[in-house]
Amino acid sequence: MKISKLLGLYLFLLLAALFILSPFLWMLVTAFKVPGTAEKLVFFNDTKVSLAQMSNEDWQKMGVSVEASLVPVLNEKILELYRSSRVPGTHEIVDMLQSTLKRPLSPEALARVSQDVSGKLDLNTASAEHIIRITGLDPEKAQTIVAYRAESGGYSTPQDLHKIPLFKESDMLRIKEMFIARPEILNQLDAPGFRSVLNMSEERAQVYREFINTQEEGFTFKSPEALLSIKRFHKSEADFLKEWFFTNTLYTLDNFKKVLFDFEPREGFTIRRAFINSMIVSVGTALLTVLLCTLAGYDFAKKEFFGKNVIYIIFWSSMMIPGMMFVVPQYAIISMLGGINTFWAMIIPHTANIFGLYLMKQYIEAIPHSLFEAAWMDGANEFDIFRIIIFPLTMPIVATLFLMTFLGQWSNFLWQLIVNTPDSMNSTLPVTLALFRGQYSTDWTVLMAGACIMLLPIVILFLFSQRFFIQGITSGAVKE
Amino acid sequence: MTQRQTALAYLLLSPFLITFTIFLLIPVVYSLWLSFQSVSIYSDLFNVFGDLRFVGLRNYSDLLQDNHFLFSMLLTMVYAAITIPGTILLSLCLALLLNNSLPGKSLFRSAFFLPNILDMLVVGFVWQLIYSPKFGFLTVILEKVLNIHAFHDSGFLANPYTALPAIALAMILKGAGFGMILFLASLNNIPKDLFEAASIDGANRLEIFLNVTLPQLIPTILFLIVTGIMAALNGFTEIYAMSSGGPQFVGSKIFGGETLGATRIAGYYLWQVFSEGRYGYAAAMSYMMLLFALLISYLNVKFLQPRMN
Repeated sequence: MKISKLLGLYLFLLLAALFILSPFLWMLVTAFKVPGTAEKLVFFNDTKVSLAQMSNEDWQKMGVSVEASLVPVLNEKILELYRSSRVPGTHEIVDMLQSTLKRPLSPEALARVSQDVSGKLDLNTASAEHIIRITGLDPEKAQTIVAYRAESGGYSTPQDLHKIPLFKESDMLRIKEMFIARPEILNQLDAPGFRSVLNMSEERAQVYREFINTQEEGFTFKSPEALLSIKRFHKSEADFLKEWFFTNTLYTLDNFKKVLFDFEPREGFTIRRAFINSMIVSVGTALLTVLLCTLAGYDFAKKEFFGKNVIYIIFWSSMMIPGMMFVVPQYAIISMLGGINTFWAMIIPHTANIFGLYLMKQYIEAIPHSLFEAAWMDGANEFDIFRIIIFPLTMPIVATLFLMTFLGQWSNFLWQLIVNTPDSMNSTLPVTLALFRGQYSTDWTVLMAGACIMLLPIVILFLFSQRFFIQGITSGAVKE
Repeated sequence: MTQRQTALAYLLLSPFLITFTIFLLIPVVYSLWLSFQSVSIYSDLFNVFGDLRFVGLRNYSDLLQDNHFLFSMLLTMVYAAITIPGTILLSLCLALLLNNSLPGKSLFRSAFFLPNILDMLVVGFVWQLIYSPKFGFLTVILEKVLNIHAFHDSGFLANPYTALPAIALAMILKGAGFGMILFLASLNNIPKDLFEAASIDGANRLEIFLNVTLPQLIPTILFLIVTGIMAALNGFTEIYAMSSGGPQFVGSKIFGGETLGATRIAGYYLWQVFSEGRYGYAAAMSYMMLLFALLISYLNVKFLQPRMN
């Protein structure tokens, strides 16, 4: 094939692969985003992008007067900064600005630039368009914020936003992370204020308040680590305040941490437990299926017995029946046998796999009959036949059947949903993930992190054993 | 066949046979019996099976008059009509693309097949995110590239007319890999001399494809149609994940003004009835679905069988 044609084909294949895999790429990207930012179709914090696309008027609005000729230079340098370091800090931007303009910035300009860079927002002084630009809120909500602050005398904490009429929790989520730190707020809070803002206990709040009182007039905290200088102040509280002081990047590992460690809908039931449950169910079913299908496959392949054809026809006709048909009666039987919420109820009904039987039968039939004859002549009993002939020679197809059953059971949602009551300790991963959606209903980032965690074992398993999957499909499904 | 041999054979078969009988054979019979029962409205949730009353064929006649059921079967057919041709077409295209000795071919094959093995529920959630109003990937792309703002407020899954096609699209992309593998195997099995004979006779590429390749692929196509119908009838997880029975068609004119779920296909409706505790009705519904499946399979084979020769 000509080179150009070859390249064209590769390109097309690549595009097709991207197209088919695009949902999962999007899932991956969303899983790493900071909660509340799944709403934006951005890949890096767009306040920073806007900073790099400023026109002269934009700079003026910020309070930084820039000569027209310097504007492109400035924008280019900002872009360079963002490309080079992962998160350029406020001081880096300010330094770069001041060195390019060859003069220091005025205090107002400094404040405005710092806000824009950090993505933080002083809700008490920002104009409506500034709010819109940084948070992407609807214009009416931004106007409401501006209008209401005149009435209420200003916002001291993000919680104050709740007082605004019509302000919803989802809007809060967006704004909360951008609420600028005003260290003097922390100095003015009294103990009840601390309790409500920082969720501290009463005595801790007292400790903090007393510390402030012993300091000089006009004391402010320069950084959250400084808070640690107070006796008995926990690191977790400093961490909490950190988001008030420093820039939030758009990406975080927090979602994964939340899914793995903080998700506990009922006592003792975490994602790890659900994972183990899924493993038990999938591996158990796979093992039992292999066992049953090998025994039965050998029977059909090599033995003649009364009623063999009738039974085989009955088996095959059951494959025509839609799976939904079995849901109601199987549930009834399981319920009467006391199997709700048990492992055996999730495993055993699926072990009589006709397709697996067919696979094993075909494979064993292909083993040369002379091997069996030789063994029988030597006086081997059935156990020996299995140990010497069948077990070693059917390894490939056994592996295929094992993997296919494992996979089928890992994703089997309906049956596991039905058999487990909502408070079961034996729920498997898919059922748990569905529960996830209820708990984190608006929080797409955490849900996507959960989805990633759920898919990862399967992807890894697939990458190592695709050969078996493909073999299983092609050997069984294409009827001559 | 000695007695002892037969006994031994049955012994080996017994685990499979017993499991099959208890969990597959008996349920089918039990389901038939259940379909003639009805749950009394006064039975409490824990005693449903004890309170069944024999009602003969009333469940079936109720079903045939139930607008929800009829609409759900209609939706299932629409769903199947979108997914089956779509999947076959896409799988065939992918298989034809990969049907050559390209280095790195297996990498692409894995990439195309990967969505097929992923969990349906998770895939559903991911697509729900993509179809979301305002910030869903697809919604935003349409707005920015094609300037189509119709989906800004409702997204794809909240609009009764686009919900089912949207879910069908997600399933096509997910399921194409399976068909691709099958087609690749079939394409490999076509004897090479057929191609030689055709090109000697002066046929061009398109004619070769239509007259040589395609007929050889018909068994695979038939298989995909049958499995596609089963998948449409059994479809539950994807609906649960994406739309939970879907936005309502309010005041639908076809069925006398009832509100009907726009993505409530047969499998999902069955689960809904089941979770309401109406086991008799659900069993009757599953038998209707079975009849439907058998009918379609029979029609299929009858239609495509002559063409195989």
